[in-house]
Amino acid sequence: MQRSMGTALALVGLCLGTDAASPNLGVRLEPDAHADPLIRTSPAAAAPERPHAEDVVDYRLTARLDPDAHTVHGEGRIVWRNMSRQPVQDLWLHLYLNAFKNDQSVFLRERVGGRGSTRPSDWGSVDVRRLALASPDGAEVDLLPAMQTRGGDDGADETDAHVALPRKIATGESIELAVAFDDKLPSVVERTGYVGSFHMVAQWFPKIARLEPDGTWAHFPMHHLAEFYADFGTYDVTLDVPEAFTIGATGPVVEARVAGGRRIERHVQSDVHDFAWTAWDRWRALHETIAGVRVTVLFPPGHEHVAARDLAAVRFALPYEASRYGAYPYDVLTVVHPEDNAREAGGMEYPTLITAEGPWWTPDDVLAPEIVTVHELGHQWFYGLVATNEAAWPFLDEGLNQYAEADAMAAWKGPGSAANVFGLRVSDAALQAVASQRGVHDGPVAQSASAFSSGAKYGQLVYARTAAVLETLARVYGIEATLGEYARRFRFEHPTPDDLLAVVAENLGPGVAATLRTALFDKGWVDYAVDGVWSRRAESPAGLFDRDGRRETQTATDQGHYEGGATVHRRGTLSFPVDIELVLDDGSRQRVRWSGEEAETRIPWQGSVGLRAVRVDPDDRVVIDANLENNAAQINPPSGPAPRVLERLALVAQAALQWLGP
Amino acid sequence: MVGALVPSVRARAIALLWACQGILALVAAWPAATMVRAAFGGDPDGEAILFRPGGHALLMFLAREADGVQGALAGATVVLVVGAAASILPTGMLLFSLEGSLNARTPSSLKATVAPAVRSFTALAVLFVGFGLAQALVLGVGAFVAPLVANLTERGAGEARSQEIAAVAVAVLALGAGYLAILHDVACAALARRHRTALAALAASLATFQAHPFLLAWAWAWRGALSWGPLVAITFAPRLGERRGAIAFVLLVFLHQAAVLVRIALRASWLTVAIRTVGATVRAVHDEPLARAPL
Repeated sequence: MQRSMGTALALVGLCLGTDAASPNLGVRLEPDAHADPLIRTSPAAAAPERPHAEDVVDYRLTARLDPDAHTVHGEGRIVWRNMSRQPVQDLWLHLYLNAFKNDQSVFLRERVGGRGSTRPSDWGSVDVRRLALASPDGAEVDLLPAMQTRGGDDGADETDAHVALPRKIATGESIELAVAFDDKLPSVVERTGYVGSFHMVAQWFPKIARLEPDGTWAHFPMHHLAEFYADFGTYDVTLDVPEAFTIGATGPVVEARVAGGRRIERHVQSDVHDFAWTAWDRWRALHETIAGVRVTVLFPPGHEHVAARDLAAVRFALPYEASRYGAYPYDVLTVVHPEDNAREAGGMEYPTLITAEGPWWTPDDVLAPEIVTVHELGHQWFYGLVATNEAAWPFLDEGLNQYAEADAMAAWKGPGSAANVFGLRVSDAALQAVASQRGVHDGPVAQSASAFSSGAKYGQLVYARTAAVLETLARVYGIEATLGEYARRFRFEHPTPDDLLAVVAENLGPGVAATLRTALFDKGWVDYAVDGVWSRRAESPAGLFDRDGRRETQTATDQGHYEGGATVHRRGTLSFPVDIELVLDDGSRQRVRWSGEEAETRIPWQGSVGLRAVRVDPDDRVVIDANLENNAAQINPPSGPAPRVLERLALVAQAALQWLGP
Repeated sequence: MVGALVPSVRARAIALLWACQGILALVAAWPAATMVRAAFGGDPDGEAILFRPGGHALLMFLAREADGVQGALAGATVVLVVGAAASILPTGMLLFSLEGSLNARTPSSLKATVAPAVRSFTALAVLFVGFGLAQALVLGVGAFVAPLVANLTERGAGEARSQEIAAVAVAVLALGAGYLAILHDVACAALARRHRTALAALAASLATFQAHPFLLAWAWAWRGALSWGPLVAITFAPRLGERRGAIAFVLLVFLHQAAVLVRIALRASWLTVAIRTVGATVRAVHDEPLARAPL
């Protein structure tokens, strides 16, 4: 799910032009040192990829939409296998749509900011009408009386249902459930619902929670900030909508017909853990085959241009992400771009179906639609294929995917990967880096979604902080291939933070893994600072000296060279090796490497030219550096206003005066 | 002798207005530029770090110094609002220099425009504030009407088309704001033609626009559109600001200020048309009924 780009883009709306990279004055200037290091070229590791998921749960459902009443009637059968090491005698079902049933749900009570914080104008619910355990002999045991839907602290929440089974289900044994349910869709809220005849149908069916290998159920009520977690399986869903409606859904269409004024499509997809669909009588469509995948973009009338931008984003990102994190294993991908008045349905990911967002008039130089599309596409890996527990460890999907998004955008659009306005290029990674500084001391990144105090903190830590930390590790150590290996190794699996850290330790060493752990679990931070720089002509010793019983007065004489130095500090709980750049009086530059492990280092200088200034991390590799304003020091810093900033701002002020004045 | 001097007076009036605006702009921009120096003065590349591709340092600066930036922005806003009001005087001097150049009479020097500009200050201020409020009202109505129109038409037309319809409604209101801008300028021109009060100038402006709507609208519109051209071109030129070094900086300053001067010159040109038209349309006699005159 994509969080808003927030105020960062607004901040850069200042009419500041760009200035240049540094001049090539250094004696050891790195090649293209000021080029944005986000432009990646390193290949991902080619680890073997698991071809299919373990098939745990299969849904065969039919769903009939009444677009006037905004209801869906569903029924069908669910086959579930106990793949844990323990026999179980109960089931947990997620009834997510009940999050919008009333304002006593956990979801609506928690409203801590961000999407879904406005109470829906029309409530939504899912009512299970039938739940029966089928026996091999054809008989059925009605489980509905045993279903308890009251959850949450006071039992008012109905999103997490417990079902007692009449017998134990052994390891490896399958059961078949017959289900029927009625959905009342809410006015669009938090990924699902309707606006007029537009319907986004997500979290819409009784969904079996994931049973962990140790026999514990990973179930939870639907929290405001949390997303989902489920087992892989096959979804065989037949959708029935009015003939005038166009359908977009998870998986390819295997059967389609029109009968009795109804459009009926059967979608079947294996190796996935959710199913979502949309139906609208105004959808327009773009189709293109990209890297062997049939891509469809569904968009409203008048949104042709932004839909083409969505498609262009997929055209770049689909093969790019596949090269990074493993092949996209499905035949289809559907991008749903809702109107802006249904944006709560936008910016979301489901298997083979993602929702984009952005007004039709979004300027081309503001890449918000591209960013959202690339982000949601990235979730096909970090959520879809690497199916982590989004409620327990949201950084594993949102955080890693936010990094993947910034990485892909940089590879596609360079340093202007978020915006390119007034000649000023702003990168997606820079936005993450800045946002990541907020809230870093308020709580750890690695905690459950429901533990975050606000949507803002959740966004800053789960999304931005994780992305910025990984960006730093990428620039300092080159973590890209390691993430690729993690994604391949845990393809169709449900890894935990320890699995990620183990892969990092294995590939980059325990020190890097420890750094990552501190950053994620212990509010790790770092600030490099140049605290002093000095330079002077070297002179011989001067003063009074007692030699051979006599006191001599010795005057200083010029030694014909300069001496000087600088003190550089590292504050915080994280450390990274950094370059320290010495700028000499003749404009030349030299670099020394510092491990960054100590809290302080002193850099001595001696040479024929005096030392003018010192800068730490000149290539901006440690993007989580808490303060960039103390990264350099000069012996004689200039005074007065910054001339170029003054000139640009004065120009803006002149234009404003001419507009405001008589 | 006077004829040779008159263009020079007009040029000097233009230069004066440019200088006034330039000084006010520098005052408005100074605190923010000083903040940048304080933040990055230690960097060997100075403020250049702010403009590195990617914008990391710039965004960090804006985030870290948000309070200071907000303060600088508030201060700049005050300077600009007060400055806009204060620039009534140099604008008045420009008007009287233009009027003099058209009639080859007074003033014979820039100094001579001060007295009539000061005399007309109150009337110019009344017109400035009055028309400013009227334009704000029109634009406020636009801000209210646009979402209303969009909402009313969305169900049938869809979001994109309904917003286009709303944009048309806003454009119509923007035309109204443009009409008010023309009336304001022509009223100022009428003051320069010795209509002594704001009310008389407004009456003269209305009569002039009624007599020559297309001439005035066209003269105002093409100069207005053209005057934004150089500024927009320079502002959006993607690589122009990336050149480093003193010469590149001086060249950039020159280009920027040339664009600003062109804007003032085009405005002066438009005001000349307004003065000429109002002069040819109504008699400039205080407290006498308006009378049409051949253009």
